[in-house]
Amino acid sequence: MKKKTLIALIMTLALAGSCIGCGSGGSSSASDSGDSGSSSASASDIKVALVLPGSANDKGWNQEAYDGLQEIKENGYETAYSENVEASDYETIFRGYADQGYNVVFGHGTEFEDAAESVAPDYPDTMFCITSSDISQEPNVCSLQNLNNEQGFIAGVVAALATKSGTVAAIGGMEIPSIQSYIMGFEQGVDYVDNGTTALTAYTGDFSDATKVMEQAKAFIDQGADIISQDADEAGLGLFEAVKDAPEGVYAIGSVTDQYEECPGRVLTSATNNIGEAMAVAVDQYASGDLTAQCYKYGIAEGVIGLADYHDCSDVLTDEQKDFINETMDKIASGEITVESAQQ
Amino acid sequence: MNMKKIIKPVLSILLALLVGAIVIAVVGENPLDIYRSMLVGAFGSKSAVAGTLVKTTTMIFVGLSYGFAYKCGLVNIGIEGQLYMGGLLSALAAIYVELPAPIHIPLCLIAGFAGGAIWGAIAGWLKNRFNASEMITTVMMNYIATYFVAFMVNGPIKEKDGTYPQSERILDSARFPTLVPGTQLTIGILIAIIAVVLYIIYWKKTAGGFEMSVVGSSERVAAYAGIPVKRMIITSMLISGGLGGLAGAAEVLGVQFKIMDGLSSGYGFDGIAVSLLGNNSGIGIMLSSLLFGALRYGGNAIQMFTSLPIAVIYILQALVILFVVVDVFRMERRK
Amino acid sequence: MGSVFGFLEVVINSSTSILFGALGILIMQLAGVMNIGAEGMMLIGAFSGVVGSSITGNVWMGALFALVITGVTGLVYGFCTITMKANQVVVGIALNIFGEGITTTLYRMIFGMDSDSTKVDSFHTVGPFNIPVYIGILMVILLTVFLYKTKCGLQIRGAGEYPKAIDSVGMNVNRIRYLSVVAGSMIIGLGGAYLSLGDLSFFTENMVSGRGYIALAAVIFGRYTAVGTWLAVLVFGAGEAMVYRFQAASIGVPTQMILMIPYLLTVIAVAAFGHKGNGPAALGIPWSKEEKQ
Repeated sequence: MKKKTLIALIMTLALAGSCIGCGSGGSSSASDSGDSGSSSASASDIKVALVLPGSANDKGWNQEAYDGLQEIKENGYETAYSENVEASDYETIFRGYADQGYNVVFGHGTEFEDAAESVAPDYPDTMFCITSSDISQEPNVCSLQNLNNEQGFIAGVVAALATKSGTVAAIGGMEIPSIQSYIMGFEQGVDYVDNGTTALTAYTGDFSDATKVMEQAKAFIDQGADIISQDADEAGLGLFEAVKDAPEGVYAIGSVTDQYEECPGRVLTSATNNIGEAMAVAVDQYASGDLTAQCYKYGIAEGVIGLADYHDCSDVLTDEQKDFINETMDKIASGEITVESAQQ
Repeated sequence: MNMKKIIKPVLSILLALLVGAIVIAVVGENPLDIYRSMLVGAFGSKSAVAGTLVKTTTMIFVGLSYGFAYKCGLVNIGIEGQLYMGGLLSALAAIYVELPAPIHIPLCLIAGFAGGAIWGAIAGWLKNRFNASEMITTVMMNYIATYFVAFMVNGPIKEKDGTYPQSERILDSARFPTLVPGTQLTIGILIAIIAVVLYIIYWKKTAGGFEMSVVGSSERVAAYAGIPVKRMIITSMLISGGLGGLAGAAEVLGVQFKIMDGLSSGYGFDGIAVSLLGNNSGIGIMLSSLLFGALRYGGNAIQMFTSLPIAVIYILQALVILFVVVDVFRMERRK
Repeated sequence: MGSVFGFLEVVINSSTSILFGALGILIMQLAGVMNIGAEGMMLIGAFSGVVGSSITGNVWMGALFALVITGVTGLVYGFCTITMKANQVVVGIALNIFGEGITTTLYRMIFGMDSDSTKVDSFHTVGPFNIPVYIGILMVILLTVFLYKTKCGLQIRGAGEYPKAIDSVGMNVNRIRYLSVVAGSMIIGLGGAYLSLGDLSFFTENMVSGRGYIALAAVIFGRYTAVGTWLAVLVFGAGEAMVYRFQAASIGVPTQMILMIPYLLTVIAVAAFGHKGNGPAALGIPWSKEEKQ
């Protein structure tokens, strides 16, 4: 037992030793702690960090932000990101980036609100920007509210118009506000069409298990649903496996990006949500000194939420129905229709 | 104490780092840069050391939890669930009970211990009463606990003005006082060390510890010797679960200050490796906790300041565990 | 519509990957080698299956590729646990972490970080099920015969129950264990490949989502027999199927309470039918000839 203890001690020492051994260079690359005055700095001086709750490659919520960061990088800014960040590390990672002089730090999701509010006062030179949130705190916490409720609403309208069976469904991943908003929006969209359509909804409880979404979709199809939508990131791809083998007349509605490719012929359209674009805009605003501590809303009116092409499913809906959808979107954009959200 | 015994584990760590370096090089990064970032990230500054110690705290509790059951011959794979239940009860006590700090903190710790203990004891009871293997029941109860916490933070204890499924923030009187100002380091680490000391005393000095270890080596012998096996099993699961619950309490009271769905990301499973790597001894668990704490915390730094994806860090962690355990256990396998 | 048969179909579909995982674990554990690392093995199987299918355009080649890669993984696992006699639980845990790391890293290297579809050729449906479902059921029967009616099966069980006896009749315990570990790993890998190539036709990061642990529980619950394991897996599958039905029917119970069902059901079933588990006596204990046991 003693020997084992000794060994463990040595292991730790070895680790620390190799630290000293190769640590002489210091982390000079990341420590140009330039607190470049926030206004009108040139792009190359501005460093942008993105903190993701999930995997950057999840083909959904996190991927959208990651793609946004790539766009920001192409615009000439210096970028970095952390993915799969644990709840206990939110503050640590925020502080870490701020310590290294990052100018804009994105926390991708409502769950980062508390961390931003408590870290921000210590780092007045860093702008903390939370997506899917409506918080703001002077002078350096702002938020980008991408309106998932509007996204769900359009999907609901499309589904209610396209259904032949009178039953439609939506599947969410984890039951968190952004997803709840989508589901709530979907139900409101179906109600808005007001043609007696029933909307069924479910959550599978996670974002990586595509099999669960597939089986849930099959259960909905058994229940008589013929138009099914999803908002479950990578797991949502399971929906397309379910409609692939489904009887004639069953269609999927994709989400976040145009998901037509996932199952050509069976994807009616997709309710898109381009939060990455909003992030790129925010960084440009920062560069010109216009990004202030407030909540920026990004919905249909701002072009962040929209509807993808119908591709080869164009004849599922009549032209009048498509016009109705476009009118509805215009009404949401103009504020004539207000969609309730889980995030207010 | 010959040189061989010192050199071997050092070599296995180096070997792990070497194989890791190849992986890193294949992904297209400079391994030296990566290792430097990791070590600077884990030990390079005051706040880095503090962060590493905060992770170490959690690792100690989960490690002790696994070790306690293991020494009684039980395999507790349910530390994750016990951590969630402990976190939940301590959060309830920390949010809804108003007391001055000197009483409030101990109360929250007791609540955390109780939460995990109940969850562990259920598995112990199922084993005694129905002969249900604790390996199955604890795995299943992990899921039940995490879903139960998810249910609680989505409904009954959801923060009033917030939108995200999480509880209210805990009262200030329940927060662990900070040890080093300006860092995350709290008295949590001291509580963990006290737990280690009690753990050592229990197994080395008390009759209960001796009897329990007899049960651990052979239930039949223990029964012959008149040791109440069933009572030992349930006690062991109770305390093991309680220690797991304290890990959750330490996260809630010392790090996160609220409870949410993502309270833990597999800490409970780390506990298994921490304990076995430290040969289930108090000091061993403490040292392997430090190693795991450094890997976890240093891993954050890698992904923040290099473009290496977190997945490569998982590979690195697995290699270190593998190479250390493979070599160490080859030299002395017997208990 | 919601007929009994439809329900059974979901039960079998959603439990097949776990069945393969459990049967693989069964062989390994009967031979005396504990495997808590099935989660990682399944992930590696799921990933290599997709890679193989993507390169060759043929799902069978994908499955073959998954078998080869998980076989090699098993060989490494055997080397660590049998030859090097490392603690089997720790190696298993390390394998789980490794599996998540390596599959995610390679997935990104091979398929890139963009959101393009990465669909590959997948298994076809014959009658109500995919082909692997039938293979799984066939395997339950074959394994039962193999383990209890053949000399080879007897040797495997002997290696796990009383290795000294096997050794005393001049057979190599570790060789039997190696073969069992490699064969078991390949079957576990097939379970992973069923996840990515059976119902689905793509890989997602961390897609195994705890099925490896469920499979381990199923082996113990099934009292170390192939048929018992199958029944245990079906109990869990029934719970999963209930989740989908309840949610589809919108019965107004909180989601999380519904999601708990499969796990709760398993605990209750274990309590009701668990009784004396008959695990191998030498499970988890490395064998070395010179050491007096």
